[in-house]
Amino acid sequence: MKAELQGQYAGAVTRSVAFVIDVFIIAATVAATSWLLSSSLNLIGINLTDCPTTSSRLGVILGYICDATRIALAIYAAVIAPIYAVFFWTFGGQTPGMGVMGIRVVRTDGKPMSFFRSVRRLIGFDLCLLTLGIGFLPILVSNDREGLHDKIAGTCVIYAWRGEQDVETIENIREWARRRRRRGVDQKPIAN
Amino acid sequence: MNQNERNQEPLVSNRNFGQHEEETSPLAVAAGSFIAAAMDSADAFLEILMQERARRQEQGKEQSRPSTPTNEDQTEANSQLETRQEVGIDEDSIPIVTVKTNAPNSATAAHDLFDEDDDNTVEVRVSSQAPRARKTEPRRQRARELASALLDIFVEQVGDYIEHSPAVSRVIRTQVDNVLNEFAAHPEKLQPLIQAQAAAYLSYLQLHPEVVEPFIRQQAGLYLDQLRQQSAQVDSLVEKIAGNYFARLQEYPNEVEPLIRALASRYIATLQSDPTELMPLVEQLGDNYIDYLREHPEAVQELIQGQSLNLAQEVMNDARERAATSDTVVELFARRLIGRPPREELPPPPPEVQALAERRPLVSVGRGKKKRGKK
Repeated sequence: MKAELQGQYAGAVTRSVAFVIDVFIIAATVAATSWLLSSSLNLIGINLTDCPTTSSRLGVILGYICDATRIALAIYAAVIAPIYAVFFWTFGGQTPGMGVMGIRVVRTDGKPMSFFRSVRRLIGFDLCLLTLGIGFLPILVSNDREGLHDKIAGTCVIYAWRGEQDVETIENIREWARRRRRRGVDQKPIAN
Repeated sequence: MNQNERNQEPLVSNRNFGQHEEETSPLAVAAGSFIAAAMDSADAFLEILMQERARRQEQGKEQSRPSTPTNEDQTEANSQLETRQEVGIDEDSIPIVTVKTNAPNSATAAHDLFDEDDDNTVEVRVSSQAPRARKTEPRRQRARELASALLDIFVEQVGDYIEHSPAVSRVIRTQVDNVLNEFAAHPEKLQPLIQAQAAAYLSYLQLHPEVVEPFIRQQAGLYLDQLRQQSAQVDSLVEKIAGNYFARLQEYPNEVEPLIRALASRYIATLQSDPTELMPLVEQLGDNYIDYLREHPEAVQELIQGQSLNLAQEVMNDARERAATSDTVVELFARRLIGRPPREELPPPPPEVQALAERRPLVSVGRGKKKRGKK
């Protein structure tokens, strides 16, 4: 037995998998950029892991280039993730990872995502990360599966693909949980 | 005209029946000739009958005499006897005919006339010098033969006349033209006749296919030779017919599909029963297909790309489905951890939100413009 998923609130596992895919893409991009830069600088004798410190004029110039590259790479690594998220949320409502998992960020009022709405969501996302993921817990327990960042931005995440859910498996697990619950109630000593 | 004169003349006079055809109508000439021939024949036949009657009267007078037994009495008596004849030769090379009979009175009758060896045996010795008995034919048989000959001659004369007379052929032609004109004017009269004849002929051919098979083979051979000579025209014709046929088939896919399946299954069963026939075909088709792919590699590339995309899509959908199922399961455990009852059903989002799942939402630029305008 299957249940339609399109248009329903997306759950924590799907969103987590999409997040992991996005992190992998960002990390791969940063790593590739770093490798390209370091390889290019190696051709002119600059090693990014060990910047030259000679007192010669060339050595000083090369040292500046190396330090600037390091700083640029650090800024790039720090900025690419927010830019990535805001860009994809604003244009299309889904990052590549969300696209793979078939989910989409939408506004709860049914209007399309805007840049500021995306920025607000990003700020909320960072807050959730800063609270060690406590802000993400409402996704697991709330009826609208919204995290703190969704509440802040007024957005929600829904399934965008024409998929189905394996209801039979869910029902079996639900039944198992009910039985466990009943057994726990029966084993409790009667007060009085 | 006496008997001899009549015998010397032919029984049916050899007249030229078409002599007067220019003076009168052909049909009248034909009818007159036919009547004349018939009258001649009737004269001759009547004469034969008169002779036969006179002969019978004479025979009746002879039968009325009491002393001599009639031929009919003799025949009746003979039919009651069981006789056996034995033919032999005696010492003087004279043939002996021994007749044995079981009739009780025959012995006394024979004893009076011939020598006898036992009671029921009569021996007859015939000398070589004895005059031979003249064979006589019964008059009735002779009359029959004469009538038969007369009839033959009559039929032959009529046949000759019908065969060679231009009047008859003209009459036939006129009648045929009339009939054809009638059928041309009213083809509905001809239709049941043709249908009945065709049905009868077809049923006959179904029972005897060996009759029609050589004819069909011969015609098919001729037709195929002609088609080979006009291959270009045949190709265009076949293409046109096939196009029409396929267009018609596409209109009725439900009727065509079972037919194709039945034919295909029969064909596959035939090929499975005799794989030796299949192998050359497969080899030839395989070679053709490989040559075609070598000349058109883009088809293969598209095919492989399509297959790869399908496979990737399938894997992705499977991962999505598993993740969606896991969403609910993980929520179940999370709610259990914090002591909440399991959620029976997730409330759906508002319809406007659900509608966004279908289409691709674009960035709203209207709000930014408003703000700029306010500023």
